[in-house]
Order: sequence, then C-alpha cells, then structure tokens
Amino acid sequence: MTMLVPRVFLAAGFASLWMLAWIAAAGIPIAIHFFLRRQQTKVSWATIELLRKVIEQESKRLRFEQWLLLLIRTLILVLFGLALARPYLEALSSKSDPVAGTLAKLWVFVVDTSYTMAYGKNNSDEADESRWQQAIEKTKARIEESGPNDNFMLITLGKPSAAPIRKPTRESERIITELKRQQLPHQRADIPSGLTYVSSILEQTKQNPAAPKKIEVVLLSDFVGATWQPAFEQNENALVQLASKYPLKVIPLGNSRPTNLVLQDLQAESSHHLLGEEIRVTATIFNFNSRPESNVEVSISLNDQHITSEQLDIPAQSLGSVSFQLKAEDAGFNRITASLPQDNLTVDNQRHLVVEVRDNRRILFVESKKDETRMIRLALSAGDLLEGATRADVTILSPIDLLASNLTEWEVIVCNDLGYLDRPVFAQLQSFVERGGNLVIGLGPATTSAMWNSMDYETLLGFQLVQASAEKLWNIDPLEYQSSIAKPFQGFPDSGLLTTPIFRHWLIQNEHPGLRRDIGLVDSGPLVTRFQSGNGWVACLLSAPSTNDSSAESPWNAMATWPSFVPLMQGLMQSLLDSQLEDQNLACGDVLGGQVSSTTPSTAEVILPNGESKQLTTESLGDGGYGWFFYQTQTSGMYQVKAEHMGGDRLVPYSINLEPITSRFASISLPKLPSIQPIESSANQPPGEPAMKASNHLIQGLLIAVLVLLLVESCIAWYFGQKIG
Amino acid sequence: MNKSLKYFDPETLASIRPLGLRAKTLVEGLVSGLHRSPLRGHSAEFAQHREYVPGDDLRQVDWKVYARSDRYYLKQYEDETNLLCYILVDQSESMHYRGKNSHLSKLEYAQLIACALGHLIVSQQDQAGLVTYTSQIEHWLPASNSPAQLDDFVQILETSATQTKTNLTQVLSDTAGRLQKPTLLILLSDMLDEFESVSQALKLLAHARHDLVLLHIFDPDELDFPFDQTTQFDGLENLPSLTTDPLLIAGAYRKAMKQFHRDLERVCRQQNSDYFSLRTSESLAQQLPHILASRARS
Repeated sequence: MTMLVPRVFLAAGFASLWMLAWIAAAGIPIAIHFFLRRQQTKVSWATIELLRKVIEQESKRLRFEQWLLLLIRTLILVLFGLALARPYLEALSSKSDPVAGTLAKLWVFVVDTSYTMAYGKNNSDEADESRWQQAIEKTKARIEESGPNDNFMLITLGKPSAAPIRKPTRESERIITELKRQQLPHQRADIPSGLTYVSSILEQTKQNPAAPKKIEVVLLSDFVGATWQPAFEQNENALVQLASKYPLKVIPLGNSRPTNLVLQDLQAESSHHLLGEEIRVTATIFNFNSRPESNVEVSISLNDQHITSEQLDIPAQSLGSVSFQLKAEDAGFNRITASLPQDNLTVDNQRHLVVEVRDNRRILFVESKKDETRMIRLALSAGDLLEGATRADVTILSPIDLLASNLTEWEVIVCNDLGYLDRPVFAQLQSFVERGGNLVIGLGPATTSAMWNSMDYETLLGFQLVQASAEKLWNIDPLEYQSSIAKPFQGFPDSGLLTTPIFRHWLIQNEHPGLRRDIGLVDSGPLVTRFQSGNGWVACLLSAPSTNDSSAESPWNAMATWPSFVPLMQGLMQSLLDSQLEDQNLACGDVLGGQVSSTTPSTAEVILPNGESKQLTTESLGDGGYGWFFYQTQTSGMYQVKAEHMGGDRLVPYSINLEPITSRFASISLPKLPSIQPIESSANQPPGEPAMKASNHLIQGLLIAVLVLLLVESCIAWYFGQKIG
Repeated sequence: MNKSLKYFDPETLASIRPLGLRAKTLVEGLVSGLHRSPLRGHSAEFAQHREYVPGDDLRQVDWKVYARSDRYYLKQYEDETNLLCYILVDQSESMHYRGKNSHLSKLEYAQLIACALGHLIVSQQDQAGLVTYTSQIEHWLPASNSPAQLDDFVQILETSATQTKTNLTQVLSDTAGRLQKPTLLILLSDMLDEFESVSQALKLLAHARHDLVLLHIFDPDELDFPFDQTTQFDGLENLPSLTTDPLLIAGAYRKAMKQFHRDLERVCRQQNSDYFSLRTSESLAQQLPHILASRARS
C-alpha cells in the first residue's frame, strides 16, 4: 500500500542578515583563551614532578571542563547572534511547486502618492524626512530583507492610480529608482478605485505563469483620514477585499498628530470686473492644529507683485478668513495668489485665482419684435443706472441683421425668442458660443416644441423641449441659492425672486449631464439653466408667455414685469461671464483645453508653473473641429497657455489649485483584521506572515536556549570552581 | 614583638649575614626562651657535674652543690653524656627555591636550623656532626663536642652549596653505613625525591635503630600555589618545564601536596620517627620550641 505523505519544504532565512555579524562575537572566548596563553609568566619551580603528576591526573578532566565551558560560552554568543538576526522559517505545503524558484515571492509595493505624503519636509519632529522619503526608506528596507529569487512590482495610489513597474522584476533597484523618480502630484489619491486597481493588476499578474505564485502586498501610506475614509465607507471595503485575497502588510508613515494650516479657498466675488472696480477676494484658512494659531499672516499678490498681508487668529480645528481689496491697473486676465507661511506641508499653503478685467461689457440684444421685450432691454442696460452694477454697452439687432454681423464684437448675445431663430442664425450663434461667446435665450411666443424638435437645439442648450406647462402660478425654487444667479437674492425676501409670477413654463427632457439648474420651480423643472457648449456658455429662461397674453403690446412674459427681473438678468450676465472663467480656475488633475476655430491641425503652447514649456498639437474632435488638451495638471500653480483661439501671442493664465483636505487631516485607524498586519516604523520585520510566526517562535526558542545556557554555564563554572578551590 | 622573638623572625634573620652571626643570633634568642634543653640522654647512673648554662633544665640543678659552693651545677648521668647527633642538610637545587612571600630560601632556612641545633647540642657538651648532601654526601663533619665544631658547621654550610639533583635514598643508605651505633639523625630536607625510595630509606634508618627527626622544609608557595594566570613552570634539578593554567589545577595540586605531607608523616610515624613540617615564612620562635618541646615529651 502506498501512503501519500505530504511533502513539506522549508525556506529559511534571516530578517536582519547583517545582525549575523554578532556571531563573530563567538570568537571572543577563543581569542581570550589564546590571548591568555600568550600572556603567560615564567616561574622556577621545585615541586615540578608533583605538579606534573597532578596535571597528568587532571588533564582529561581539565580538557573536558575547558572545552565544555568554551563550547557553552561560544554557543551562547552564537545563539544570541542568531536571535538578533531574526531567523524565519517558512513551510510550504506540497501544493506548492517544489521546483526551485517556488520559494520566490512577489512583493507588490503599493505606495500612496497623495500630496499629504510630502508632509514633514520642514518638520523637525519628523527628522526633516518627508513621509514620501520614509516610504522610500521603508521600501528599501523591505527589499533588503527579501530573498534572492524574489520579484517586485510597484503600484502608486493616485488619481488615477498607476503601476510604474507592472511586470514582476527581480531588479529590486528599479523599485527604488522609480520611487525616487516619482513626483508627488498635488492631489489626494482616489483610494477606493486605487485599491480596486491593485486587485485587478494582481489578478492579471496571477495569470502570468512566470510570476511567483506567492504574493505579498506591502501598503505604504500616511492613511490621512480624509483620503482614506471613502475606502471604508463603501459597502464592500476595498482594503478588506484586497486583504482577503493577498497577505497585506501595512506600513503607516508619519506621526499620528500632524500640525497643519491649510489655505482652503481663495474666491473673488466675481471673476469679471470692469477696469477701475475693486476686486474683492477672500482667503479661507483652516487650522488643523490642536491649539489656536494667532497672527497667521496671509499674503496676497497680483500678477506676481506682492500687494499686502493680513494677520488673523484662527481657533483650533476651525476656519478663519480674511478679505483683500485689489485693483487691477490693466484690462485682461489678472493672476492673484494668496500664501501662508510655509509649514510642514507647503503644498497647501498657496492658492491661485484668475480674474478678468474689462473696459466695459458689450451685449448684443437680438429683439425679434421691436419693443416687444422692452423690459429685457432695460434690464440689460440697467447697469448704467444702478450704483455698483456693471457698465454695459447694449446693441440691438433684429434676427435678420444678425446674419450680416460680426458676432466677435460682443461678449454676450441675448435673444428674447428662440422661435424667431432660423437655421442659419442658429448656426451662427452656435459658432459664436463654441468660440467662447455667451448666449442668453428666452422662449417667447414664437417658440414651439415642433419647431424645436426639428432642429438640433439640444446641442446648444443641453436639453429638449417637451411642451409648455399648464397655466397656473408656479412658485420659484431658489435651489438653496447655490447658483451665483440666485445668490444675490439670499437674505432679501422682499427682493421679489420668490414672488416672481410664472404662469407657464417649458417642460424639458433629455437633459445633458452638464446642464446646470440655477433656479427651479417648485414641483416642476428648471426655470433658468446654464450649459457649456464648446468654449462658451448658454443660459436659458424657460418661462413661457401666458396664453392670455397674445396682444402685440403685451409684455414678453409676466416675469419681466416683476422687480426681480432686472437683478436676475444682471446676475445672469455676470454668471455667464464668470462661467467662462471657471475653465481658467481649475483643480489639480483637471484637463486644460479648448476648441480652436481652425479646421486643420495647429499647435498650442503651455507654460508650466516651474517655467517649463510644453508644445501641444491640436486634436481632432470628431466633428471636423480641433481642440487642444493638456492633461498633466497634477501640480498646482499658475499655468499659461498660448493658443490660436485665444488671440495669437497672448498668454492666457489658468490657475490650478489642489483640492485641500477639509476634514480629518490626522491618520485614520485601520480596521483590525487578521488579514491586515500593521507594521510599525521599525524596518526590520520578517518578510512573510508564516515567516513572521515562525520567526517569533524561533527567536523565542533561541532566547530561551540562551537563558538556559547562561544558567548551565553559571552552574558548571561554579561546580568546577568548587573543585578547583 | 617580644624581644626574644625577633631573633626567630625570618625577615630579621634574612638581614643578618654571615651565617655564623645569623645562627648565633638565633641561638641566643632560642636559649633565652627555653628553660631546659630537651636534647638529652636518659640514665639513672650519675657520671659527673657540669656548670649550668642558660637553657638547662632547672630540675637537674644539684641544689646541694649550690648550697655548698653558691654555684649552679647540673648532675649528669652516664648515657646523657653519650648523645651523638648528626644533622643532615639537603643542599640540592630544589632547596634553593624561595617563593615571593618568603625572605629565606628553604636551604637558608635549613642552614639556620642546623646551626642553631648544632650550637645547642655542643653547648650541652654533646657531640654534634654535620652531613650535607645532594645526590650524594658532599661533606661529612664527624660529631664532636668541641666548641670549634660550630665554626666548622658554619664553614661547611656556607661553602658547600651546589645545585644538583637530590638522591636521598643513596645518601641515607651511605649515612646508615657510616654510623657504627644508634645515633640521633636530624634530617633537614624538602624531601622532593621518589616517595617510595625515600620511604625505604627511612625504614632502613629505623631498622638500624637510629633516632630520626625529619624536619620537612617547604616554601608556603609550594603548598598554597598562589598563581592566577597561565604560567610556565621551569623545573629545578634539570627537570623539564611545563605550562598550565594554575587556576584549573590549584585545587588538585594543593590536595596532592597535602597528601604528600600526610604520607611522609605517616611513614615517619610508622618508623617511630619524628616529623615536623616547617614553612619558611613562619617564625622559628614557633617552630624550634615546638620541635624541642615535642622531643622533650618523647
């Protein structure tokens, strides 16, 4: 009968190989022995024969005792040296491939590249070593402890995550070189998707027959709460899932109580200003420290020129804000930068903002029927009358005259009734918007859904019309005043926004995901929408004329008769212009881009915050047009772009800011699961889970043996001493 | 220190030269501390009177003569006048050993004792002779009670020192052969020879009815073995050297040395001989009276 005996293969090694050097200490007793032999003295002796007899009688015993003591003492030092070297023993079941090489392990280093990993560069309590530097050192330490046949992979958790070394390699130095080469993006990693990415990469790797079957994932991160919390809020925790599939070692980096001041926000009241107007910007700072911070200095600069500084006190774990009033000297784009003194994390101590300053505002009002929308005209030009409002240069044209006009003269075109726009006019307006113009569309009496559906209006407006609603008094929903259009009315209930009479409105469908609702109607759809088309923006007023108001003298619709109409239209103008600047005030990771009017490939130039210049070639958009796109915006700062549609040689600034942490800057507690093994800062850890257990047992056994031998040695030495005495 | 004791202190004696003066100093101290001489014969037949000398036994003073003449005389009996003593001094190389803690070598210590005892014996008008030996008898000074005998003692002891191997068996055999009648033999030696042959020689002396007193002289280092680091021991008397760690064998050595002393004492006791072990570091004020007192008791 044949019995199948499971074969067990052992892999042994040392977690701290260099500690084996201590075994050399075993030579000390031997060296002492020889040293003492050299240090002998000479004596003339009378009883030499007696001495000789004694030595002859005792020689066997003496030799035995000496060798025994020397052996025990040497053994004590050897065992102690072995224990210091932290040996490990791994048992591989017979399921493993017993062929040489199966002992190799695949080390997958997953490193968090969130911007908080840069913390510590100016921090004395972290020994001037950033968390990223710590991550490199820890990785290096783990690699040094790996076996000679082990393979390595490197995955960075970012936004998006990436695998700089995706194919298992035995060239461990590549891991360190790649880590050193990495530049930390000014973004927080998308941890849930990152961990999912790691799982998918590992699944693919497992399919590779050449890759080691034994995989161990080492996760290095500072585990900042705000970054990692989303990973734990998911129903299926990505970290737990990863740990359930692979042995996961976690190496937390940095200290648990970081100190940091964050310049969380820099906002201008408006992105568009007229020359001579004051630009009011507000900087918001969050104090993550456990103690209040006083006299925090916030500096502001305009076009790289320091303007002024303000100091403020911020309570612990609280927000503080400070406002500045700036005045631009020239029309055009102005770059504003606010800064805090450098602290442990410098990347969130600065924010940038681009505002535009113009001589005046050029508005074209396309009036389908003369004087039909007198109120609109008045509202557009009201800026001249209202103190503090914008100056507006309003030109009025009929739809027919529009075809012959050069639309580039105007910044905003207002059409009171979509129904009067035939296909050529529509195409012209569409071209105007795509090049960066702003369009306000009203749905007057001529507008019908049949006409709408026969044309491609949705590409311009972002929705399809269904029909006008039933006639009744619809209540305005300010949508929590989130929109910049509704915001001026917040806190002023008598301003009339909520009582604006809306008897009918157009119902819409097939809304584009990018469609914004600025003002809505209770229990119904939107009243004011905004939509980006090409480089420009289109706002739409969805109010419909009352069926009882069909006379020539009747107002455009009842909405225009209300006091709220003028500020509403002014806000609409401002929001449209501000919307255009939204593309120039972006977050890290956003794509810089725009359409060009050219129908052939051309070039654009992007100048990075560090002064480096990148040449771009425009890409086809598929509809015959071309656009330029720049994706490498992981670093915050002021970018400048020179492209055809921006006016030739003019550099257009783009501010790229990081999305700061607004909550839980401290490290998060990892779930306590057996599959997740936190490894403290000490780099000297055994390499694998089984190895870790075996190592602990081995070390314990060795230390116990050392203790026993010490005891035995003492007893034997005492016993021999007694015999000698 | 008692005035008389300073004469027995080895350190004091070591500072005195030559040997004659050193011995005289020792004897003066010795005599002042003794009330009677233990080295005497035993007989009931009166022979003669002799004048009292310090150290004589006051019990032997003839008080009747004193009453008549106002002078002290001792009664001497027939056998008492026939005391014949030979002092044998070992002058082999091993006797030259002197440990770190000793002021006198074994030979110097033995010479002192030999002179002192000779002085005592001659002063009692008994006959004392001297034998020095190494591997053989080097000098034989026949016994005499002449006062000039002491000068011969000193001369022989000071001039006859050689450094060769000892052969105690041969020497004792030769000595026994030369002596015609039973004699008191005082043997001063470290006894470093083959134990069995020594034992045979002692038996031979006892068989010839000689009265043997063995004064076994040794240095304290030879017994204490006070070495604490690896040491090369160079053998005296042309014996090869050996190297060892004294700490490891000290116990066994001391044990063996003590056993050697016990064996010697046992052999002597078996032959009705007296055995005294003398450390060269010890004061003769303790050693000599002890020896003499022991003889007196016997």
